[in-house]
Amino acid sequence: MQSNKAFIENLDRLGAWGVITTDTKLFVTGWNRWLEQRSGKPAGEVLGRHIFELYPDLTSRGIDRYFREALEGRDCLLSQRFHKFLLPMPPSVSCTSLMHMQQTARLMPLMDDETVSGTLTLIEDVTERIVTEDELRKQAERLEEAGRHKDDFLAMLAHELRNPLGPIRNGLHVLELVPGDSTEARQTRAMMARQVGHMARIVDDLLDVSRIARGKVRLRHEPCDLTSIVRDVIEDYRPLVEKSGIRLVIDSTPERAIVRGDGVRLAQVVGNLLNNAAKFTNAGGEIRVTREINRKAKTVVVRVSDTGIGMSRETLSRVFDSFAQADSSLDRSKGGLGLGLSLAKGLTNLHGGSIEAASNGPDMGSMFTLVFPLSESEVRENTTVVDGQEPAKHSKRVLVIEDNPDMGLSMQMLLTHLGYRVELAASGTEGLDAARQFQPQIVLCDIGLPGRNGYEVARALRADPDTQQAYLIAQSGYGADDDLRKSHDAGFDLHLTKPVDFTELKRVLSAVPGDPARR
Amino acid sequence: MSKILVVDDSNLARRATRAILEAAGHEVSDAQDGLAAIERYFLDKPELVLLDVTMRDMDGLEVLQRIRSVDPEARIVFVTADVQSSTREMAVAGGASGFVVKPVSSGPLLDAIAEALSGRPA
Amino acid sequence: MIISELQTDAISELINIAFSRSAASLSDLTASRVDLEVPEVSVHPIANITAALHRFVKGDVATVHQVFTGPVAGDAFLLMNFDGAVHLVELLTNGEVVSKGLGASAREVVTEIGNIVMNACLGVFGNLLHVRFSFSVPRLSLDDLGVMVNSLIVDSNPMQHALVVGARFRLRNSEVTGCLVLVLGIASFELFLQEVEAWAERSLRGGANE
Repeated sequence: MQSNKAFIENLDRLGAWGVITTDTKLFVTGWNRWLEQRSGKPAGEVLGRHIFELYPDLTSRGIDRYFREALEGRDCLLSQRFHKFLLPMPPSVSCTSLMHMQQTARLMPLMDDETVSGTLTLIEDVTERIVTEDELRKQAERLEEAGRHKDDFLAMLAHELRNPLGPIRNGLHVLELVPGDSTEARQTRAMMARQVGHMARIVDDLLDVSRIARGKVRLRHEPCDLTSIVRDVIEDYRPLVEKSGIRLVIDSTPERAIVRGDGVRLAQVVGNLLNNAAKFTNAGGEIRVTREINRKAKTVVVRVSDTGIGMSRETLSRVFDSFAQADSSLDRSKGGLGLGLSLAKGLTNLHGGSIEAASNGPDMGSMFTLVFPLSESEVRENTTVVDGQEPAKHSKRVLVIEDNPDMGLSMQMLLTHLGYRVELAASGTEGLDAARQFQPQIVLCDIGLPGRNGYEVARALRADPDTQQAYLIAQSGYGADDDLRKSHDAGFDLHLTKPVDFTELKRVLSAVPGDPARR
Repeated sequence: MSKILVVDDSNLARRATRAILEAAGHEVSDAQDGLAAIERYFLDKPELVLLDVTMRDMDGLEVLQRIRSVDPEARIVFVTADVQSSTREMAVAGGASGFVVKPVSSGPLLDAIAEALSGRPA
Repeated sequence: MIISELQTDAISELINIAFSRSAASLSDLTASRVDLEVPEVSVHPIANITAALHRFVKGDVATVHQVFTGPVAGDAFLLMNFDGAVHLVELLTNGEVVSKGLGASAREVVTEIGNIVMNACLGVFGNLLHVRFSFSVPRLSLDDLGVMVNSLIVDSNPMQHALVVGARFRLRNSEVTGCLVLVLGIASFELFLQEVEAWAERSLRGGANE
């Protein structure tokens, strides 16, 4: 008896368990501090009373059986998953779905030599473990669902990219068979250009989505007139939309709405919304674009609404998810990857704006609302890219350092066509040798070179008095602030992100100052 | 004093039950499995069958149904270690005239037999 | 060790009653019907149990182990196939437990089930054989069957015998297979057989179970 008491007191001191002792008739003989605190019943109230009288639902829940087993000398385990708890107590972790503390309990006989002298119950609080397990399970379910969506998406992507390849391949065969200046050849080239354009758009969209997701999109920060952007985009889309028998209406005053950001990207947002509206509106329907300026709230609101097939509540909840759209067979039948809305949202958020989708239900049309903060400064006139002037006839020397042979060759051909004198090197070391001999005024250098990378090449060129005056342009697939800084530190004058737009390159090259020493 | 058929695949159970019944003056025949039980029933024409629920080949419920399909007035008392309430319900629903829990003691067993035999249909 | 036919019959009947009680306890706990096939009982020297076990469990197994004391003392093990245990937990908790493998909550469930089956079994023995069985806290381990049997053999005296019971339960349209193994020392086994025979004889005299 004495050793039992000491044992139990020691257990109590551990403080981490509820400890109940009873005699052989199940009258309570021990009730520890843990229990007092958590059950709200002080020991004085509980000692000497019958356990089933204190907690009558033990009987109705069938738990009295375990006490009787213990009295017969058998240890019992009551797991949380079956019983939830032994005694009802408030949960220790704030969690909306649990009403009681979750417990695992052990019921044991108290032995006095060979005879049973009572029972010992140990109660453990496992609420936190259960909450964590439930959260993990939900997370696992979500990840699995997202994984499934990605798999579907990849399948769709592969399909979409393969489609244009067929005609392009065929076109190449045709071009081998017919004279280069024939009508057939012209038509074939036009068709191939269209298909390439289609693929390029898909790839651009994908890259954009990926860059936005990784926070690596570089935006210009200039004052842009959203009013004229909206007007221009609508006019660009008008032929397409009206050809599908849809009416396109714009409701906006000529008043300027200056937003700070990237004009090209803002046009992309509006364009994607229009494209989406047109995709899901049938002939005879209408798309209406409105633009409101709210001077007091300092915001500009652009709404694109349509009388099309609308969205169910379920679709509405996932409308901006990039991968969820793969589910829609309708989307698939219209072609494309369904990334437009996801991109629109990402770009809008990067501009400090917000986008919302609404629909009264299937067949009741949809409405997308963009809200951007107004900027104070004036718009700069004409932010569109102007074609560079013709390169000087005393042609500039350009060194292209690029390890991808196809890329290097095509670059060389294009620049030669533009009137430059071009040398090609396939590695950093080759490039440095070529630079010393060729003395280029411009060096177009890939960063990701095998052996000595672009940064090392730049540093070496700047270190050498023979080559340090060249205009160094870096080319790289990465364009985040970090990457720009690294190029600049290495000595580059300019950093272009791949894939490089040809028109942009033309402009940049023609803007490079001539021969005289620059540094 | 009645003719009783004892069906159970456990040797000890058959012998123990026989001991109780013979001590009370009943005439006992027995069978080890479902098929033998059905055969015995029609050969010996007992007034009552004591039937184990859990048997290897054919379970007690099926034996009951087969016997009753030929003789709807057969009196069958289930003897079983299975104490789930759903088992008792299935037995009653299947037409059992009684239910005794193993391990069998003579009091409850003889009471159940008496009750089943007295409930002869009008 | 020679076991008479009477003793064998008696052990079979005892196990039948004991496992039916276990099934009933499980049924209460899970609020669903449990159908039990007639358990297969055999006795072996401890070194030879693998073949008997192999008819019911293979590969990775979940084992619940309880030590029992009293005049008849030894070890009780309930073995289930690991996949079967995971499946059983899913069945019984309506998928509320993270299903890949056995986490803490799932292990508790398996331990409780083993505890219930073994307690019911030894409870019946205790009541009918007039022998007191006292149990310890159950412990769960997850191992390959071979590893588990080896550790069992190593920890035991080679003269010990094991009572192996193979059982198949049906629960919610799924079949669960497991093995109960009772390992007893010589003296304990002899006392056990003695009491079993005494019970059998009481039954045959018509007055065993008042």
